[in-house]
Amino acid sequence: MDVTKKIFLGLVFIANILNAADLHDVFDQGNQYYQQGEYELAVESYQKILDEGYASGSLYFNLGNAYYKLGQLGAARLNYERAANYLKNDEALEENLQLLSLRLVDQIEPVPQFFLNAVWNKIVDFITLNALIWIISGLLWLILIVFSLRYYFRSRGHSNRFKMLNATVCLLFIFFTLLSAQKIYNLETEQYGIIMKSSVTSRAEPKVGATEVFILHEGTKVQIERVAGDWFEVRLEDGKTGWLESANLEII
Amino acid sequence: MIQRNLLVKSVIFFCLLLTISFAQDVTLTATVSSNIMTVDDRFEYSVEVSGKSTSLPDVEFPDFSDFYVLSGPNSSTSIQFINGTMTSSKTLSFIMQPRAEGKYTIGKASIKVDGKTFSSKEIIITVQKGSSKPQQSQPQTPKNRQDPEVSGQDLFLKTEVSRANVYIGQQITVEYKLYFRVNIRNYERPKPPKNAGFWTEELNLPNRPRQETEVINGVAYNVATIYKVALFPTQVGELTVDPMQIKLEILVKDQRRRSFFDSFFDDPFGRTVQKTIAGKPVKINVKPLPVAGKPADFNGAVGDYQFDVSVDKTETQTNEAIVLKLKLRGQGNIKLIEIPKPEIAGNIEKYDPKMSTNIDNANIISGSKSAEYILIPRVEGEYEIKSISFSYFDPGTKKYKTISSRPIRLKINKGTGPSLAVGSQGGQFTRQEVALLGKDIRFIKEFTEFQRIDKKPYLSLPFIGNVLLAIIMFTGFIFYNNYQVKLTGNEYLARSRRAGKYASKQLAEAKKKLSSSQEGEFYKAVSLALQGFVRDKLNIDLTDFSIVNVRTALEKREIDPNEINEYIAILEESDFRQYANTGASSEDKMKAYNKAKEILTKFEKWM
Repeated sequence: MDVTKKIFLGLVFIANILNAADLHDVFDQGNQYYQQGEYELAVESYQKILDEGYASGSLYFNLGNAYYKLGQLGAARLNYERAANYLKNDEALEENLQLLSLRLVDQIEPVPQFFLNAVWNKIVDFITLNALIWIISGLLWLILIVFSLRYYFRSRGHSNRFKMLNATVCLLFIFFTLLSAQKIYNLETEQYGIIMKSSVTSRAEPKVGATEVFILHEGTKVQIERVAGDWFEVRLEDGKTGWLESANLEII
Repeated sequence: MIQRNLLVKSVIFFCLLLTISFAQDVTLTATVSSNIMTVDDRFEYSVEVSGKSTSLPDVEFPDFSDFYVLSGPNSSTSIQFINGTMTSSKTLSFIMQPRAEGKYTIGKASIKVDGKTFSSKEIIITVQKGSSKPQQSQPQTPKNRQDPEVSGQDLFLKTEVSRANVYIGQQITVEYKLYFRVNIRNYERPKPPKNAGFWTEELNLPNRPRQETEVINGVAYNVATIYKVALFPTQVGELTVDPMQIKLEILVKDQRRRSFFDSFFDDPFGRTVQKTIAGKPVKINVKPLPVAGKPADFNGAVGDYQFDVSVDKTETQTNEAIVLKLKLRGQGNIKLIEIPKPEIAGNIEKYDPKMSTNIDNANIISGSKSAEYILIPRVEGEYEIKSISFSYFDPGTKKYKTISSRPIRLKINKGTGPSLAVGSQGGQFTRQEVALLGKDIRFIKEFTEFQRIDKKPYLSLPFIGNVLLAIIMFTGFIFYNNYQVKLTGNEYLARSRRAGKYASKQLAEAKKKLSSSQEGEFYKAVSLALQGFVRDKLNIDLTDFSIVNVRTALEKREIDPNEINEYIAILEESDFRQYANTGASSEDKMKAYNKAKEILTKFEKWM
């Protein structure tokens, strides 16, 4: 029983490795197409990897680039934003996103935030969840080792060893746990979408023919607040809200 | 041969035509001048035959045995040509007087034409008790006064409603008809009644009301429609069509016995009487529209409609106007309906529509409404004006109907004018964009590590495994450590922990004996507390316990030498007093107790 399980797991592992190698081939193929200026073929190649259920920051970045070259700004923005979930503080990505947003029709001024909120959001945004997870597990190990040492010495009559170390590790652990809790909360509750149609009318109610509130254009990023049937209630960066038909946007 | 046949046929046809037309055009009407009277009153019974032939056949009269026939039949004939068509009519009249009170029926008068019998209606005559009319001469009265002689029988207003059971929004035609048998000189144009719960649309009538004749129970009335209105109920339930009031001036023949002089001053044709009459209200039952099958876009239109959507061109260039026309035509509450709005893609500018409404107030309210939108496409491409639908309720078939226009495809070619396009080809750049014009996006990345898309890192196996492993190892260590401590039987540790407890117990014992006379017992307790604490703390056996040993052990612990001295002093004192009965006062005991307590608390801090 145990042996068969091990063999099975081993096989799965090998299959994954092989698959990953293939994925890299497809990725390289896409990059080649891109270099040759065959952007549509490049998009196709990159898309193949996504269809397999795999992704990476670079993949989304390249896909965004290919769409940008094709002039599909909505799709380009979508993929850059997706890349941003994987790549933090990536200069190239930030520059491309900035360049792209200058070409969009809707230039929306974000509402200024309370500065503490802004600082906190910056910190939350600074690190990917993936990295955060490993920091937290590292800190957990450290904390438990310190606890163990303290316990060891206490049980042998020496109390109050490693007091400072213990406090520092605990504080760090609490800080990073809060950070990742905020990040996970954001991930689970906040959804953003990118307008994919050249022009979309948002309405006051989730109903065809309801009062028009504002018009959005391709590539604008909106936050999804609520879902009602085929309609999304979206919030713009400047705080305006309205309802859009779900076909008009793509969730990041 | 063929010609003869044709001739025969045409002759037969002509004959047929003649007979048919003759037979159909004969009418027979019997009227009386009054159908309610007293025994003394006389009345006229007349039968009018009219047709298109000059030779009208004889009339067979009914039985007049209930009446005295005073004169008749008096006949009069008239021939009229109207638009080249001749009509002739013959009137035969009798002056009669009832024989007694009661209700009598004058039977049908009839006429035979070509073997067919036409007959008039029966007339019911009511004869009341005689001679109730005051015959005394009336005082001179002002000319324009309410005259009782013009009774309700000669003059009344009828509110005629086309239907009494309607759906909400369905048209009802209401005619206010004046029935009269008097000479009306003038009438005041009536004020239209306020019909609550209805949307009212006045219908056109000729300036001078057309007069028609209508026979009601044998009495011929002149009928004039004085006001006609279309009502559209806007509420459900029982609604009332308000009656109308009208003021009339009537010319009345004076029936008073005239003196010779009167006739000079009175109008030889009669006098004018003013009278106000009112009709009766009519109840209308308004049903709600059925809920079943109500289309989503239904907005209250009831009637029969057509709906057209058209554009003047389907292919054009950018920045050139296209006219989109939505037209709604039909019968019903068209004035209350709004034309549905088209949905236009955002890259086409849509201007506010030019609306026009055209309503025809003939018998049934009908008309057309149209909205003209001007569309200016700003970006080239293919667009579609989505299907626009309009729904209405057809009261005839009692069903909802929806008219959907076909979607219209527009092809917009690139025009010559400046493009306001989304893209950058156009020419309208913001300043920032100009600064970045020379820049292009950064090149693609060539290296990557893939991960599964759907995986949430905080739910990944390595992370959770890692956390679990850490926790398991930690708890494992705790258990292991406890086990280890127990195994080595670390008495030293156990004693060290017990030390404080033991010392305080002995001190409490000592305190109890403070007041007693057993001096030795008190000092023994104090000594045990002092010794025990240090022994337990420093793990010294009783056999090894001596002042010298204790001193060195304490000095090793780097305890303040003053305190050590103090400790030893008090220890020695209590050891001495324990065995030698020195007769210490309670004050001495108190001092020793306090000192011992003090030094032990101090030691507890150190150790």
